[in-house]
Amino acid sequence: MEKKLVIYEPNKHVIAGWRFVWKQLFAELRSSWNLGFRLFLRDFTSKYKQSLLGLSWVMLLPLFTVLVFVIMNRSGILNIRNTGVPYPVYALFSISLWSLFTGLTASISGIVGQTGGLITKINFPRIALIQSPVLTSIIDLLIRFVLLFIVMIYYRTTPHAEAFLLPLTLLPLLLLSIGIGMFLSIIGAVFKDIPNIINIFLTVAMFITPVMYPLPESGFLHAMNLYNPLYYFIEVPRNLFFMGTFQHLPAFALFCLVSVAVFFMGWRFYYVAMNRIVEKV
Amino acid sequence: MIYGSYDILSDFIGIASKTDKLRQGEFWAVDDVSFELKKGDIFGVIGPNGSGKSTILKMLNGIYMPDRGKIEIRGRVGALIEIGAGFHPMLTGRENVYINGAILGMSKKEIDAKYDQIVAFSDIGDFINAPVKHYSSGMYVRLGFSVAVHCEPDILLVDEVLAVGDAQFYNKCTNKINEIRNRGTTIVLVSHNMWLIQTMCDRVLLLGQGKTVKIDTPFNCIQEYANIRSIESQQSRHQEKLLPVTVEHAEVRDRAGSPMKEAMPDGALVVTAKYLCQTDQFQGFFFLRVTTSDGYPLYTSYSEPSTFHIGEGFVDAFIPSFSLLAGEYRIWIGVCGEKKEEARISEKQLKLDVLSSTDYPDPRYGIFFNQVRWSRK
Repeated sequence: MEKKLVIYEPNKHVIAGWRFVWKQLFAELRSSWNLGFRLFLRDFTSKYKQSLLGLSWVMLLPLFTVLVFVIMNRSGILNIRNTGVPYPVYALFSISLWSLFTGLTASISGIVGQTGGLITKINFPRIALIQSPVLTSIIDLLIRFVLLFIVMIYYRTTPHAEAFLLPLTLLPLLLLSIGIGMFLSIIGAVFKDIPNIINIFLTVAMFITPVMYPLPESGFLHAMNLYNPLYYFIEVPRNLFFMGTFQHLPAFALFCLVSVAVFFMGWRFYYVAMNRIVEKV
Repeated sequence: MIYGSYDILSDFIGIASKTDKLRQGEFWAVDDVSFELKKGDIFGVIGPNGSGKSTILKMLNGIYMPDRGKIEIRGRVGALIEIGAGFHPMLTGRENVYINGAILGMSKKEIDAKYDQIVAFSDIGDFINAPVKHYSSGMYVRLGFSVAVHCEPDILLVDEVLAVGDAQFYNKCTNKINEIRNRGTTIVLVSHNMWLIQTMCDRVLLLGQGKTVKIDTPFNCIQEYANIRSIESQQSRHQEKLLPVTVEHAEVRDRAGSPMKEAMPDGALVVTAKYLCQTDQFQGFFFLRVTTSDGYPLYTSYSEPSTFHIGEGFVDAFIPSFSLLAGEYRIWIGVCGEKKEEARISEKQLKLDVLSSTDYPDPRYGIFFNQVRWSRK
């Protein structure tokens, strides 16, 4: 059997051109699936092996955040109204989606830093490192939805029929998170304060974006969030799930395209920059 | 940082960067090194630390991209570089075999087929089902090595990894590598162990500061390497602090007292040294060591404990039979403190060649010469 010839030369991505690099990206994705899944199994089983609370950790943080907000709302510190469904249900749904974004972005952006030793010593399809955080985040989301359903049963809230479209509407959020994560993982390998900057930014974003509360009628936050993709990525699924309505279609469609673009650019960036980053790490 | 960002950006956009010119602060880690390997070649790479050996391996492994020139590889590349890559302490040996195997490029089917062999070679036994964090460091290395070695690549890159593990495991490894080599695998071996290089390699690349010094037979390259090192160590010897005892001069002489540069395997010789003592009542030993030309120690002898007095002195070390077959050797004579090897104070290095002769056995089968008496019953 004739063995494949591999050639390493300077500027190989540039010589190959954008089209060829896309082909390589997809080929790498296909060939790396075995490894990616193994890494996911490794990360998932080892995370909870020696913990007291195990998988329930996935539910606890959102649960406590929601609890805090509910208490503050009930005692009048916050004045959140017009959520359409009971506030605990609203908050839990929103934070589950928000956690998908924050969890995925944070875990992917830390990838190069964490696996530094492995990357510089062994040659394996680097995209395999991304698959584990993605699968983990999706599983986490499903676990949180189980909690959500329990709470919904308690509050006698039912989702609308159109709710089955929910996974589709979550796709842009997923793509955006992965794209941003891949950009940040490379940049974060060079500038070590990036993880801290991300944390601060995500914390601030959770309060500025209408996650735990509906969009204000007017004012600065109202105006600002009309240009915030995250607002649409939380609001549209939320409306679909609880109200069965599909609002803000033009803006949502536009930001969907933005997400897809960020995803593909991030993917290319991750693949191409990896060759340079291994020399720095 | 700036260069890195610039390079990443130009790669991403798709602009070719002028990689073959050095920018300020950059240097060539590997400069104009070329070689061609055929299937089944065993290629050694030696050189001082920082000469570019690991960089070359990383380029062959596809981790670093060349900035100038081209690398063409036909076949699967495997590496014995990071043993136990991907191992997670919480998972069992079995689970880690699958992870490590996947990282090294083996499919699940391949690992399934070779699983029993891998476990048998590693000698882990029942511990294979226990979490890896309970393993001793030896078990860890054996398991990692076993997975790596069963990967059966077409080209195997080995980087100093055989330094870990006990003697029994070391033998197992070298046997396995011989097996691999007989199967026609091409091997690139980076090592400081000149013995290994000498016995395993067909050709050797000697690197110096990123450049090719020599590509030649193992023996020639090792000689050249030793020459380079002795020149360098002489230069660094210019800084000598105030030592309690300094060996000023040393010579190898025959029994009659005349200087000699060559000896016979069973020849007698005297190593004589002149020393200067600057600290009265200093307690120490004289030591004599015979090594190969690249420093591998063969035998050492210490004198009785001595007290040194201020002033000059002479010492003779009489070797009744040199006991080494044809080759180039170094003899070290010097002074060490009470802790012997941990407190070597001053020494001189001498060269001695043993001539080859058909009267004596071939040194390829053992460099020591011993009088063995045979009698038939």
